[in-house]
Amino acid sequence: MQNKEEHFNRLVKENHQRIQSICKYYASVAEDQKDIYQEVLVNIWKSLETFRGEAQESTWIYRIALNTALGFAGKEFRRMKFNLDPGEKGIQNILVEDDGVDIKLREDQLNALQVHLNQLTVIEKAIMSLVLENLSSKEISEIIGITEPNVRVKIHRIKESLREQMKGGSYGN
Amino acid sequence: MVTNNSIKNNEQYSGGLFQNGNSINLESLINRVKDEDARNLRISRSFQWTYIAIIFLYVALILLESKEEFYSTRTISNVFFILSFIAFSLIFRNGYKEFKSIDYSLPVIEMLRKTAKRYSLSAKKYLTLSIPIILMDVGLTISVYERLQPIDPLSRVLVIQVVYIPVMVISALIGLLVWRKKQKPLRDNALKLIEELEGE
Repeated sequence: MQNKEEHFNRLVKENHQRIQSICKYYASVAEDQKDIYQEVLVNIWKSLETFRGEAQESTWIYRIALNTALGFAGKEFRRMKFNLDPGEKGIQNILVEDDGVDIKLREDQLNALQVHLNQLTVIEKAIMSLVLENLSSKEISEIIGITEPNVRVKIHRIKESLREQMKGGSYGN
Repeated sequence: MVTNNSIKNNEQYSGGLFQNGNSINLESLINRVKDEDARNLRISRSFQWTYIAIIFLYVALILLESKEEFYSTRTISNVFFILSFIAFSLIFRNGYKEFKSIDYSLPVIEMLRKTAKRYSLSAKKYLTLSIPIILMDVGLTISVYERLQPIDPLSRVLVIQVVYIPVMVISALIGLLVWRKKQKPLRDNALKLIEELEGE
């Protein structure tokens, strides 16, 4: 059986990108990202003994990262800013139409999208951060703790709202 | 012990995230958490030992006095004080255990429910806290009762309550103000997020 430290090191090594992404969504300043990252690592360390393998490791990590980020945001609730990376692979997940039509974004539209994302509620932002991570509705429901249909409804509504707000800009094909 | 190789390996990953010498040192981070855990444990233990020491002191007093008269009012009041300290000690221990058991790996909604519960002022918490307070009141009343001999029995009890109850009420009000400033906003935020999550 591997000891706590080996387990911790392996988890950090294998899930570094996931933790990093969540930190980046919730903080725009490098120093704040580092603070959240450290807090996530501390909470992983503290929660290691409760990991029984019932959930996938990635789900477990996302839960800790998200709970930490929300807690972190809770301290400065009003200042929380969703930070979108221009190179983000999951951006298209937000604006793909339900019929599968892909929407290409220009740089100015990306900025507009970020503005609209920041107008979402805390929970909506949390859900969209997981959508950006290419997670399925099932995985998101396991992380958030609500039913899969509820997740799908929420994602659909958020996307609708974002598309509606973006209609002003000519981002269509 | 944290092994140097594993730390170096992990620093490569964390170093990638935080550039310009801004990387996280996992060794110091883990050591900091361990130090914090050790400090919390020390504080918790010192509180518990303080309570145990007070309890032993009172038990010793009872035993010493029992040589003269076991059922003296002083002995009975000391028993109530001991019971009150035991109850306070258990409440403190449970509070510490609850704080220590915060599990960040729970689904977000469960985490929020626990947060809301932890920071709420429930009737159960009031009732639990009222047990040692009442025990202490009984102990104090028995202890002071005989010293107020010239006054009639009912008035004696009332005089003690007139002093004790306001002290407890003021303490409760201070606790309430601290709760409103520090814990209520956390509870309110958690409830708001739960409501949003549960809504269709």
